[in-house]
Amino acid sequence: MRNPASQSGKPRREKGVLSTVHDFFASVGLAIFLLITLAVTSIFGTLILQNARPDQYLVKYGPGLTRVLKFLALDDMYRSWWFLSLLLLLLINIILCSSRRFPRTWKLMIRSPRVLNEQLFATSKFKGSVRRKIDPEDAAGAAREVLVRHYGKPGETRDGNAVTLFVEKGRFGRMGAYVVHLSILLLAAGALYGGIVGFKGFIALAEGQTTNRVPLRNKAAAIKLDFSVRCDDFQVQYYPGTRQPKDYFSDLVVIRDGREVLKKRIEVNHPLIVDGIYFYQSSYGVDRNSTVTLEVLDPADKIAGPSVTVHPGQEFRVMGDPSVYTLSEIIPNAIEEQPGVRVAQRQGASRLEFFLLSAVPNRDKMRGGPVYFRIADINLVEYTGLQVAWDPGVPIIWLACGIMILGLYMAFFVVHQRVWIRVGLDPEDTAVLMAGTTNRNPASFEKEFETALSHLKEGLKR
Amino acid sequence: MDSATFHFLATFSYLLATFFYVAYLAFRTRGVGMIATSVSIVGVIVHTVGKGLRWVESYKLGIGHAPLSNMYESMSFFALCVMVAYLLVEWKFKQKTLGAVVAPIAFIIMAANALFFPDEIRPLIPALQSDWLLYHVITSFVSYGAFAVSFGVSLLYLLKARGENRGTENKSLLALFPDLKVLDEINYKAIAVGFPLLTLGIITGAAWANYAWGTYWSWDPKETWSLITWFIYAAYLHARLTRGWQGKKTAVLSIIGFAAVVFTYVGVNYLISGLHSYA
Repeated sequence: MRNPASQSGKPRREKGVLSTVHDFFASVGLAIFLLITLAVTSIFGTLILQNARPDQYLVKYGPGLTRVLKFLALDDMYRSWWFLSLLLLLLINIILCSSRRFPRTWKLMIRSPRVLNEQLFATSKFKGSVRRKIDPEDAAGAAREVLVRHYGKPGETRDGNAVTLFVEKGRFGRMGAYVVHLSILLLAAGALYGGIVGFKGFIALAEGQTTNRVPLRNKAAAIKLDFSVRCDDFQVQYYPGTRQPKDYFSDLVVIRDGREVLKKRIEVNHPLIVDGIYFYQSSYGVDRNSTVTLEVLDPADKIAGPSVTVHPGQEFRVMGDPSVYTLSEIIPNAIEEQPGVRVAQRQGASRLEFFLLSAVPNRDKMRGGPVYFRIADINLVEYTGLQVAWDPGVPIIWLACGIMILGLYMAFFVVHQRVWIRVGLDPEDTAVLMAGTTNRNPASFEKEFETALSHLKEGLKR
Repeated sequence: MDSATFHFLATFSYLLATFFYVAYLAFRTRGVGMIATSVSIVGVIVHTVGKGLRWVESYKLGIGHAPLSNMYESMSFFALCVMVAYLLVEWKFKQKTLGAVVAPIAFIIMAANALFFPDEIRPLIPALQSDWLLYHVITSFVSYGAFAVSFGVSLLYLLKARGENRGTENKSLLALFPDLKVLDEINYKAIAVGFPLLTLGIITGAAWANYAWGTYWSWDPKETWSLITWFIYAAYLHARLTRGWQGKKTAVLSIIGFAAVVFTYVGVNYLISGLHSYA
């Protein structure tokens, strides 16, 4: 792209610094450079741990490399100053480059010459001419017929001793690239708006619990909603005979001013939406308020002492046994669709882990201790993990995506084709000139053009 | 017959098609070319029937879902897309010789799939239970098919251009393939179709993610790599359409683009962990 001033035949001037800078930021070369740079740098974030805890970096990369990663912000690179600067530069480039090229394209689109003069004929890539002794009106009629058949209804313009028939189609295709660029700016606007105004959080809601407080992700703050959400029930269904979850749902109730205003069962891919705030089913687990009651038996299957009732994470001891036990975990679907628990045992320096299963009550006897445990009862309280998001930028994003697809369609599949036929008005020697241009796909245009031209020649014979 | 038989027959058809396309390259007989094309079309039909049957079979097992949910199912769909994209190019550009390069790619994908990935129909994990699965996978893989074709012709372009430089081109096998200009044109056309489809694939993925994960973009490795692929092909289009890059340079860009496609599809699953770990 050259500076338009240097093309207009005026005496050449030294370019100012400002216009050199503008040329740089408005160049397609910069666009290609930025696209490749973004492609290459984006790879880092997929290979290096992102947004993890400090100790995870130390374990994985060691202190030296961790310092380098932190310095270059590679531990959170997609929000780092340099990556966002690259994106910003791309946006500036899109705006400047598009606005520089736009006026010329617009002219090409709306101001097609209506008269096929000598110069236009000479510069057209596709052309042909016929000279016949034929009545000009008949010749014009034949030309019109050919254009209608191949391209559409032509317009007619007279100039002096000739008439030009002109038809064009797909001229809006020239706007395709600009429409795509506009959609990218809109996309950026939507992402920015949503990022500033919206929020993303996560709540772990136990069955029976109610809350209106949403702790934010990646921040030590929380949002207070003007309504509350209660989880009445949470369920997991498994594929028969496996531990693979088929579906999990939460029955949620929305409470506003002390009244239940909405009930909905949510599951993965089916969120609850209240005032534009989305509640997604994202995970689940066992709440710490669950309890397990264990019977304590001696090797002869006699009750050896009082039963114990414990929470997950709680330590306990039993009479006549020096070990300290901890209830590590409750597993709702251990085997045969019945629950189990994981218990840690500590005695002096030795550590041991074992499982108790409702489906195999006497399994723990094999451990061979002075006493063994049997699950008497599990009071399972599950929690549902809800992703909570409010992103008012989302409608803008979808609008931008729609515009982008439209723009891509225009850019690649709508071809601006123009065809002129000029008929000289001298009945003794009627000159007929035909010319055409296309902005894309010259090969298939040429084929159609040649056929149309041969039809024109045939038509003029009659 | 069950879907596995149809998959086997499709694989065999692609092998047979490879054989006939190579024969066509050698003898240039019209009849052989017709057989090659017919075998490919039969392969595509058999393959499509196999896909349909697998869909039906999953419903009979009580875990009905479109056969696009894991490595085995998506690889098979990938091979199908490659063959369909190729047949369209063959029809549009009247070039049968490229079949000798593309048909073996489809055969290798199918054979590798049968060797390395279990073909049992598995139930869907909850995150995949959505209609978006269909739209997202189909748009993505049709674009992959178009990119595979652009990759094939770019590779041929570079080989042929090297042969021409050395002056050995006329004697070698490469002389049998289309002109450099035609290869360059097919490369562009395939990308011009693949790019909007890739864009649609990313958009449908974002729409689904917004519904299933609560955010339309989270810089998950799969998302990021699809964007990297998008950047590369966007660079290709700008270079070619406004800077007039042609030939070798664009062929190299197109090959890099396809490398990114393959990494997005396979590499991310096996080398990087992320949310999108099914296929």
